[in-house]
Amino acid sequence: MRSRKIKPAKAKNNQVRREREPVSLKYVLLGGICGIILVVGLIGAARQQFASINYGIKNAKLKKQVEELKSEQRRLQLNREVAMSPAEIKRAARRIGFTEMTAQNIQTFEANREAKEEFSKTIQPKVLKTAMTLPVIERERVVKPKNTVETVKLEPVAKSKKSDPKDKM
Amino acid sequence: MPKRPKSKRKTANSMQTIFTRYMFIVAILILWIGGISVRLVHLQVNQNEWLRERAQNQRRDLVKSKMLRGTIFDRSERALAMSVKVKSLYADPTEIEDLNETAGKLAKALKGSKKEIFSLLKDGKEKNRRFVWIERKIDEDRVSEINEELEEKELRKFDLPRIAGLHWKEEQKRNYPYRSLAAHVIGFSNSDDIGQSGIEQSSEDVLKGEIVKTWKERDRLGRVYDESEAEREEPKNIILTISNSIQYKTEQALEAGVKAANAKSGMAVVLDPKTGEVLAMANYPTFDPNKFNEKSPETWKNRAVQEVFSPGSVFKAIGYGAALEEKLISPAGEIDGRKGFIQVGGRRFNDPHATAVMSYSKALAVSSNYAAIKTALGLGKDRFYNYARKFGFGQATGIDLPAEASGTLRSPETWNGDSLASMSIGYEVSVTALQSAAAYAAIANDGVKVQPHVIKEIRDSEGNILSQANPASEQVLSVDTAKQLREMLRGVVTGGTAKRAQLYGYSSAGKTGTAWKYDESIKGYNSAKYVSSFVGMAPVEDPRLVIAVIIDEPRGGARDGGQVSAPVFREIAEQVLPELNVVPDANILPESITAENLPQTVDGDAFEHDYVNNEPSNVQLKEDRTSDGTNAAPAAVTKTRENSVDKRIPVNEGTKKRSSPAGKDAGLPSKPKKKPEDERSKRKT
Repeated sequence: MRSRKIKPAKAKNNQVRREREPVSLKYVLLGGICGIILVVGLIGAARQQFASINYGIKNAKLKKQVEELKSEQRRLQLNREVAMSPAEIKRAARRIGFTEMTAQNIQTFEANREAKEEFSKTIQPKVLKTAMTLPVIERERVVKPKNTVETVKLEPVAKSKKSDPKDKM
Repeated sequence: MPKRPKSKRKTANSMQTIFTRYMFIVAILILWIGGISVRLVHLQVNQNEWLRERAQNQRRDLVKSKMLRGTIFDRSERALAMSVKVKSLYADPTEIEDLNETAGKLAKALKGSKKEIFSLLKDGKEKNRRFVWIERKIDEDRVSEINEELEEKELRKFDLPRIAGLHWKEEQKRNYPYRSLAAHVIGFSNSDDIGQSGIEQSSEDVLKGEIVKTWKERDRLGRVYDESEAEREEPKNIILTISNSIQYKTEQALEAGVKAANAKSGMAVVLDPKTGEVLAMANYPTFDPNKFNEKSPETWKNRAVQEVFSPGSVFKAIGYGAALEEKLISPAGEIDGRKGFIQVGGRRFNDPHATAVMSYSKALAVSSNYAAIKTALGLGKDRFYNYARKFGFGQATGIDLPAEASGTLRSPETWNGDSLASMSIGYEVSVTALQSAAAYAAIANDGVKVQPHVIKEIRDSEGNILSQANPASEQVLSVDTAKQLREMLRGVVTGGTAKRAQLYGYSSAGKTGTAWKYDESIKGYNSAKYVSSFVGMAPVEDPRLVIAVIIDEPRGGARDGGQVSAPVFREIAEQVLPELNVVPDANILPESITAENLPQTVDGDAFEHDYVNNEPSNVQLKEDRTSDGTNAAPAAVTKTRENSVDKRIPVNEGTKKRSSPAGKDAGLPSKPKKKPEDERSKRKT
């Protein structure tokens, strides 16, 4: 309780010194500090809330990006698999001028020894048992003189004619 | 009583009034606050859930999506089937004000018919539907294009497309990058991502992606600021035993073989006999699982496991194997087949090969029916049946593929008088290509039958192995018997009906089979339709491969397994063995594949099942061929064949060349010319 002091009767008002109450000042100060803390706290909380929302938005965006990148990775993986499939390789090889290995190709290639040697100067010809063989252009350019191909092609046929009893009949 | 002063009374009254009024206001306030409090309590306590849901719904979206279906890899971890995310466009017609305008915009963006889209939207709006598919499974690139096209500038909508009433739904699309490669093994899944055939169907539980519910919290602008989703187990990936390279080679060889034989269809199975792993399983005709609707459902069928056929002479090895195991015969033991036929249960079985005393090895090599039937009769019904069961006939192999046929192997109680004889030469039984391969794999694997399987491993999304194949195995024959039988089967290739199965650089063994097809319409075997087969292994000493090739209804000149199926075997084996780093174990040059010493007669397997009073159909066939111009060997074909034979050169000369077996050899006449012995031996060098 605040103590009330009775002023002397003769004393003038301006001479009376009012006593300060240190407790009330403390309360005021405390209240003020609390108020400030409260306000700062509120502001901080609000800032954090907004920051959290912002981070959430950024996080959601990043998550979306990760998902999109993962999807993109899968799509690229799929494209790679498509490109590496034997059928696609075959198509690509055809596009750049390779041709399928057939018995006829081999005969033609085997037929012309000279051409073969000439060809071997540039590339070591190694006819492997694969679906593809040398580029058409290369082979045609190097390995297809008309006369020799015809001769060699006919050679086994002539041989068989001799040995085939049906043909004799 | 003294009278109170008037002013004081007045003052007292006014105070009373003030107090009363004050109390009245307080009461109103109390009532008001009380009412609010009651309402608040009511809202918080009784309507809590409902209010919370409403509040959450204002800022939260529930997004349902399906996890991507598991990937199917081959043994070298190349993806054979994988899913990617795509988007589907749907409309909520109730949100659309001007249907005509929206339909126009949609038609422009999707390059579709405005009329169709309008009718879809109109129908949806009339029926108050909130979900109408506009277009499904659109690729990401096109989605971006459509989003650009569909944009209402003044509309405040956060999600794309920015047009009222239209929304994207995330879906997935199953892709098969290798197209038709191993299509029958992998199978396919439908538009709802549910497996419909092959591994896709049989491993649906492993591959299927769970539905994931994600709550997305949005701010007032519709931006997502929080997401929460329940933890879900990701779908698993499957590693197959199939090798894409071997599969491709097998498919190519089979296709060429089927086309050359002008056959209805064909199937081939490549097995690793030691592990039971299916390295390749091919069917022709085939289909592209990306566009499975373009082919008839009949094409989707994996015939190698779902269709049965009469094995014909391929089955003879079972009888011989059993007799060897029971020590009833020995490879060098002799049998007198001069009679040329055998009569069992009132039925006569002709045998054009039984013309002399011959060893059992020779009898198997030339596919003698007489010897096979005599051997089976020596074994007896029960032992024959038991061995056939042990080899896995009449029961599903248990491979991890759907709808496997078990084949037919009746129990001895139901057999007729001639059933044992018929079965010994591959009739009255039906088998699948896989069963045949598995049975021969037991012979190849020193008598141990290993369960064939096509799934090698199951892995999680991180690549950790969750389960591995652990196939069951069973000793069917002793090691010695298996070895003896392999040697006998080698004789089939070197000097019997399967000379076309001889390989460059590798020894091979196997058995041909040519059987009439069972025809449901005539309730019997149709002598005009054949199934030509060859089941073989290589190298003989330590087989690394077992290959079964079955060609259904060959309609070319040659129809027997030795000429139709054996070249396919050779084509596959010659390409696959080097790929598996198998060291060549035989001469580079095949021992006896020359035009001159091709099998003297057609396999004969299809023609042995003649009955009493019937002329041997073998002879009939030969007559047909000579009388029928189309079947008789034209000179040109003969020349081509000789070309192909003469063109064979050793691989160690740097180039390995020969004609395609399917392209040329399969077109050979079934009865080739015979050359004098001395000339033949010259050629062998």
